Amino acid sequence: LTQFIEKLNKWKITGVLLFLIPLVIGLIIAALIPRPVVGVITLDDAISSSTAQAMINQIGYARAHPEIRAVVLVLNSPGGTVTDTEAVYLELSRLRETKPVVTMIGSMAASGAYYLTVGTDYVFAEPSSMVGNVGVIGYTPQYPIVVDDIYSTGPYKLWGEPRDQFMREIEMLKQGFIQAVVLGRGEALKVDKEVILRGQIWTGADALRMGLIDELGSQSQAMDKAAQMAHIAHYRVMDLGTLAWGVDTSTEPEFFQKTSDGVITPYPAKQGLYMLYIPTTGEAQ
Amino acid sequence: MKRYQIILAVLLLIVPPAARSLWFYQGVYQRSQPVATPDYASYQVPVAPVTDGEESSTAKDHPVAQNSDEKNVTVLVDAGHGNRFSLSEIQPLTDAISHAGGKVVVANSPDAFLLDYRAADAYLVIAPAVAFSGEEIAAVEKMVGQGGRMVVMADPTRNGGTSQYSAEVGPMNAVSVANQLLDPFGLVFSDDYLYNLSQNESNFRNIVLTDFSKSPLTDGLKEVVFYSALSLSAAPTTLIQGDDNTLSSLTDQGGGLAAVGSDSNGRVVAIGDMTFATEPYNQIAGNARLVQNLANYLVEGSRQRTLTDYPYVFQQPVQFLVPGDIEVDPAKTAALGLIHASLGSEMGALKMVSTPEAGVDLVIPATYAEAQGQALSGLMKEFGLEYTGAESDASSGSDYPAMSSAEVQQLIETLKTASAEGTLDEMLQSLPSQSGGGTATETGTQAGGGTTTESGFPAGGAWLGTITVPGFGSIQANGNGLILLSHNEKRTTLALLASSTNALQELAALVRSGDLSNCAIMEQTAVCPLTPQTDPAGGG
Repeated sequence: LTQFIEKLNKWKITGVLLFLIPLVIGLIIAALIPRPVVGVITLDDAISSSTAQAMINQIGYARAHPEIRAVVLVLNSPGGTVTDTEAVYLELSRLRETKPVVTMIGSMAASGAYYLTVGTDYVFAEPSSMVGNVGVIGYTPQYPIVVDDIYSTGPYKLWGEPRDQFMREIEMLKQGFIQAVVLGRGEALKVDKEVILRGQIWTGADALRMGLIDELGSQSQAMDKAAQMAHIAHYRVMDLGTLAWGVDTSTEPEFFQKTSDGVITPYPAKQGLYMLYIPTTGEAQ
Repeated sequence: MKRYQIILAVLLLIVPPAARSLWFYQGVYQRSQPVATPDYASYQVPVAPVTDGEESSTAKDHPVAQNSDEKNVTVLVDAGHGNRFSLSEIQPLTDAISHAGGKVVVANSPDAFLLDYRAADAYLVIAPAVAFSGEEIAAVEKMVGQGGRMVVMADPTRNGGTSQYSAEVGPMNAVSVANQLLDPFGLVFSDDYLYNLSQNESNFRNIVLTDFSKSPLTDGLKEVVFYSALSLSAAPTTLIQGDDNTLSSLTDQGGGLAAVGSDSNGRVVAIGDMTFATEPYNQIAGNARLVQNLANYLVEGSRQRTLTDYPYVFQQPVQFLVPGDIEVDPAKTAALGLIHASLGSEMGALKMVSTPEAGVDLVIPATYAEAQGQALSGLMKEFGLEYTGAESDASSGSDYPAMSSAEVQQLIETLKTASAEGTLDEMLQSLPSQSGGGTATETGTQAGGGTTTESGFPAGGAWLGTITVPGFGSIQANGNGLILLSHNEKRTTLALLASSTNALQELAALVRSGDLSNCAIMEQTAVCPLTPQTDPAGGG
């Protein structure tokens, strides 16, 4: 009996060792497999140097972290500066090489924000979202003059460029914008370039008919679509905005002009080139 | 260890991670196509259309108005209606006008306009923002009705709202104000802008225009570029129009929208753009040619003025015709001086001639008797006067004896600055020969060679017949003066006729005062009541 018991104990230990250890190891390995993440990058402002940098940081994080399998870009923006828009657009393009990016247009994705939109793989909007306003806007530089107390080494050292040249550069930037739309929307686009270049802003429903977006829906649908495109399930959502470290906005000048009584206007505070929707009342600024 | 035990152990190792993986990951994301981004490096800044040899951008290469140095055409530029432009902006145009022989006068206020328009042969209005009064519109209509020309330029960038010009302008929409002037001529600007998304000059609002109707304004044009332009919703004649892809911002429709049009007589032109006449846009395509054509158009108007435009009735230097066989007594001298003064300071010295010269306009101050004489009758034919009745009295009628030439000049210079006709007698009396009852002979002696008018025909005599004036019927010569204006290819002639030199002096004083409201005026003829001579034979 004693021998039998000893033999049995040996077998138990052996059985435990034989089955439990691999199971534990398997479970540990399984636990090390990360739950897929759909990252959310939100732009709820104009595209300025600080908001662009914050987005670029988030895009970089998403690209560097394999558990983030897809990204949803939630846009509610009238656009912004040309250079900042292009910077984000190009970062998005890099991200898309490895991960799908889906856009969810909230109340507005106009001008530069739409530029970002066409740089993603799938676009949702709400029926009443404002979409489009494709084009570039800018203030013409001053006529070059000679200033008594300022010496420079060339006629445009002080003024940047001739007014005429400025006008033509805007046209060149427009070409880049419309090309981005054509490339981004591809065969989904149902209207001619001329229609888009009118700069009109459309509702989400109209935008869908024109092929400027892919689907009307909600943010959760956008998440699901991103997950579907990334071939993941049971994902978790991560707001990448909480990771927008390193962007100090405290010293950045206001993007929009303010009136003397502190009211924010839709006009940019600085002169420059913009992909920006300005809901003007007709008054030139 | 048995084999099945090993397999079981391996399964226990694999299943949990596999299950978790399958739970989360159902495939591997792979792009079907590479990410495409615009080829930014391939985009180039658009280049402005280059002028070809025929449409050279320099003004000197363009034809200018014929005989530009002989023109005496005044182009009135409106700057008195809150106009949203600066003169420096349109310098290419004003330079072209000057080059074409025109004189640019700027009216800085509505009051100045009402004064200056009488001198104007053409009127240039750009983006006005302060309404024109009924009087001003009537004045413009009159000017155009007389053959003058008007160019109204508007521009969507100068139409309304605040701008760098806002501090100077009224609150009105420039299109509405411009249409005030254009409406009587059947032209109407639309409050829109034209654009072309498919073919433009660097921007949708910079429209390229190649469709021209035949007119002096479009002569030699192949292509012009308007850097933002309004369309015309009504134009009797379309001069420049857009193509099918040039659309109106109001309707987003297009096809033959007029950017430049004229009235049915070709005297009024409406242009929906002003940038083509500004630097540097005047250097693009055929814009410089258009600017030159516009300048030529403005200076080639032929305004036929009436007496109500006096003294702005002359186009050439003015000379006073006094035939040699007609002596100039002091009263006539005074009349000459008054008339000369009425012409304004720009006329320079009074120049009297005995026979008409070429290339000048004439003023003929004469009595009725002189007008019937051999020296003047030929020139007076064109007025169509018919004389009937009494003879002339050549012996008297002058209040003053003859003056020396020095005294004549002195009197003229004095009268040029005189403002009130009432001072005339005092001035005459102040002359050395006239004071203290001096005689002509004495004066002549004093002046060193002066002449007298002892018996010259008809120096101051009153002609007492009746005159049939075309349009007026017969009038009594005594107590009536005539102011007659005629234009022909060679000259403008203004004749002032009265029964005597005294009456002529009174008529001249009336002209000098600028108030012909007591005269009956019919286009080119005015009949002015004067003081009747109760003793025609003895003068005033």
